[in-house]
Amino acid sequence: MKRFLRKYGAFAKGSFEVAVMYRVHILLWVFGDFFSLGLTILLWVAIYANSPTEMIRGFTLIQMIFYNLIIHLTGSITYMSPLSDVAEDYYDGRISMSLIKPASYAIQLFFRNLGNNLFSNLFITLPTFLLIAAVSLATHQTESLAWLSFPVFLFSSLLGLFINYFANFIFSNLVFYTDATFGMFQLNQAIVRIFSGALIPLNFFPGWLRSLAGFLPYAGVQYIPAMILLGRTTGNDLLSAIGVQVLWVVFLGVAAQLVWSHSLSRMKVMGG
Amino acid sequence: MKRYFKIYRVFFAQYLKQLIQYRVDFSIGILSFLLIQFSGILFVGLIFESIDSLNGWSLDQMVFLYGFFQIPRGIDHLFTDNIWLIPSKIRRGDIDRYLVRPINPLFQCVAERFQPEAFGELIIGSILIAWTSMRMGLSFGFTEIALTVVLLCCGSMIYTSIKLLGATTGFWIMNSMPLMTFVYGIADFAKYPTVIFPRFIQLLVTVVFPFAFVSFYPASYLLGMSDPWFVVLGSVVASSIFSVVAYRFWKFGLASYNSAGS
Repeated sequence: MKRFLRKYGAFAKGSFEVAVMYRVHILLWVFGDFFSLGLTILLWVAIYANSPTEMIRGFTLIQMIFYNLIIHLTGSITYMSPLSDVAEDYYDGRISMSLIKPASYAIQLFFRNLGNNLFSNLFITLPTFLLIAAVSLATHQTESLAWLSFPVFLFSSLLGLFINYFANFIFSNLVFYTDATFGMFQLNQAIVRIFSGALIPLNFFPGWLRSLAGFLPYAGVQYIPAMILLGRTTGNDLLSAIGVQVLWVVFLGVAAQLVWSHSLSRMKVMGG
Repeated sequence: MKRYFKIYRVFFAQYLKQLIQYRVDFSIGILSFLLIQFSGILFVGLIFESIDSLNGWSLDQMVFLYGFFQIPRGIDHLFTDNIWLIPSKIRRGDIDRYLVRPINPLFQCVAERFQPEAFGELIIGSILIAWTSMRMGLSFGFTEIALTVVLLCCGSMIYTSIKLLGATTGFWIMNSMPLMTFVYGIADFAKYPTVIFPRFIQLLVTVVFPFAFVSFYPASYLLGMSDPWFVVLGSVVASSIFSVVAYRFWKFGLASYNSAGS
C-alpha cells in the first residue's frame, strides 16, 4: 500500500505542480467559474421576482441560491476530467510513453486528476464553502442547510468523485474508437451538465427526462450529495441514496476495467 | 481584394480536406452543440412552467431572443474560430509563418480555418426564430430584414473584436486563453433580456462589453419593444469602435512579438 501510494502519488504531485505553475491561467479560470455562478444566481433572483408564488417546485429563493452554491461546491469536490488527458495523450502519441511505464494507465490517470482535484478544492471548494457559510449566517437561514449531515455529505461527495472519474474514464475511451477529441469533450460536458443537476434541480424535469436521469450515473455525482446537505434527503431515503451511489461506483469500476482492456487490445498509437 | 478572395478559396479547400479526415470529430461536435442548445432551451422552458413572463418577456419572446443570440455567434464561430488559437500560436512561435508571407497576418490566421460546426448554431438559431415568429404571428417587411442584416453583421463584429482583444493580450501574458474564455463568457448574459439583471450588469453588457447589442437590443427591436434608431445606431457605433480598437491593439501586439526560437 505504501509502495502503491509512493508510486502513484508522484503523478498527483506532478499534476498539482503543473497547476501551480500555471496559476495565473487557473486563477482566471476560477474567476470565470464564480462569474458564471453569479450569472445563474442573478437569473434566479429575476425568476423569483416574476413568480406569483414564493416557492417554485419546493424551493424558496434563498433555498434555490443555496442549491446553486452547493451544486457548485459538489462540482468542485468531485472534479475529475480524465477525458482531456486521454485526448491529449492519444492525440500526440504520448500515451505510448505512459503505457510502457510499470504502472497502470488508468491508475496513473486517476492520480493525475487527483492532483488537479486538489487544486480545485483549494481554489474553488474552499471559497465556495466560505461563501455558503457567510450567506447562511447573513440571511439567518441556518435551517436551510443540514449542517449535522455534513460528514455524510462529504462521504457522499467522495462517492460522487469516484462515480465521476469512472463515468468520465469510460466516456474518454470513446476517443480510441472515434479518433474524436474536442467534440467528445464538449459532448461529455453537455451531458453531465444536464443530468448532474448543475443546470436545474432534477425535480424540475418532466417525467421522461427524470427517468432518463435515473438510468445515468450523473445524479450521483452532484445532485445526491447536494440534496443531503440541503437536508432534503433524510432517514431511509438517505440510506438508499448512498446505496445507489455505492452500486454505481462498483458497477462503473468493473465496467471501466472491461472497457479499458478492450480498448487496449485494439488501440493504435501514432507518433509519440 | 480579389487576390484575398482567391487565397481564401485555396485555404478553404485545404481546410475541407482536413475536415474529411476528422469527420467523426465533426459530427460529434455538431451533436454536442445541439445538446448544449437543448439544455439552454430546456432551462427556459422549465422555468416558464412556474412563471408566465420574465419582466414582460413571454416564453416565445425568450426563445426568439435565444435563437437570435445564436446567429451572430454562429457567424463569428464559422469564420474566425482560429483566433482562439492565437495565444498558443504566439507561445509556440507559429506567428512567424504569418509574418514571412506578403499577406495580412490576421487574414491568414482567420482564413486558415473554417468552422462548419457553427452551422449547428446557425440552423438552431434560424429554426427557433422562424418557429417563435410564426407562433407570435410576427411578419417582417423589407426595412426590418435589411436592418436585421446590418445588426447581424455588427453583432458578429462585436464578437470577433472582443475575441481578438482577448487573444492579443497573449503577446504579453503567457496564456491568454482563460482570459478570452472569461470575456467571451460575459456574452452569456445576452441570452436573456438584459432588463432582468441589476443595473451594473446592464451597464457591463451595454457599455463595457456591448454584448447586449449582439442579441438583446436587436431582438427587442424586432419584437417591437425598442426604438430602431437607438438599436441600429448603438450597434453600428459599438461595433465600429470595437473593431478599430481591436485591430489597432492587434497591430500593436504584433509589433512587440518575439518569436519563440527554434
